[in-house]
Amino acid sequence: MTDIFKIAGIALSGGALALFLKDYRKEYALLTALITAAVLLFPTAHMLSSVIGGFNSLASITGVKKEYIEIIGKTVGIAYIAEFASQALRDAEQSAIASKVELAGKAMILCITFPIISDFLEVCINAVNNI
Amino acid sequence: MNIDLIFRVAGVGIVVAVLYQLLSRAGRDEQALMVTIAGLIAVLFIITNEIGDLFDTIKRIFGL
Repeated sequence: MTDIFKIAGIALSGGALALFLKDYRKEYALLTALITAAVLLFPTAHMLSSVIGGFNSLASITGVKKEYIEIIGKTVGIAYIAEFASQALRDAEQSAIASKVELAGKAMILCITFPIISDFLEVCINAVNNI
Repeated sequence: MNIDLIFRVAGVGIVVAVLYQLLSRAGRDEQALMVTIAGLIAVLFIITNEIGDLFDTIKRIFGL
């Protein structure tokens, strides 16, 4: 993983450009920061894709239900994007909108993981009944 | 990793900032505003394409 230096270099130069533009045109500072974040997210997303593939193969070996691994992947994706948007909004001093985006992300993750919770509770209830 | 997008966006920002100062000093404030809006639209085109690609990649990877 040698391109961590490349990522750090890009991030620093993007940040410097955004800072430079801040006192002249505020909106361009936000847009530069946004495009830098997007460009940095590409390699990390590709890195994560191999991890997700590894998870799927693990699922088939350990016999964990396939849906649970998909739900994990979905949750990570939603958290990824919600955090990307809310941090960009916080940079633009729009913390009200940022908190709404985070709230929406949490609600979505809760909706997605609800089946797992209900399955788990069923298992507990059955265990208790069998005692 | 197409890094030139960052510098393209920052370049447009710098050009628009300079033009705004130039035009506002010359007393043409509405042209200055027009230049700012035009630059903003150009940058938004670049950014929406890039963010769209990013979201498609994440959707494909995480199965959203």
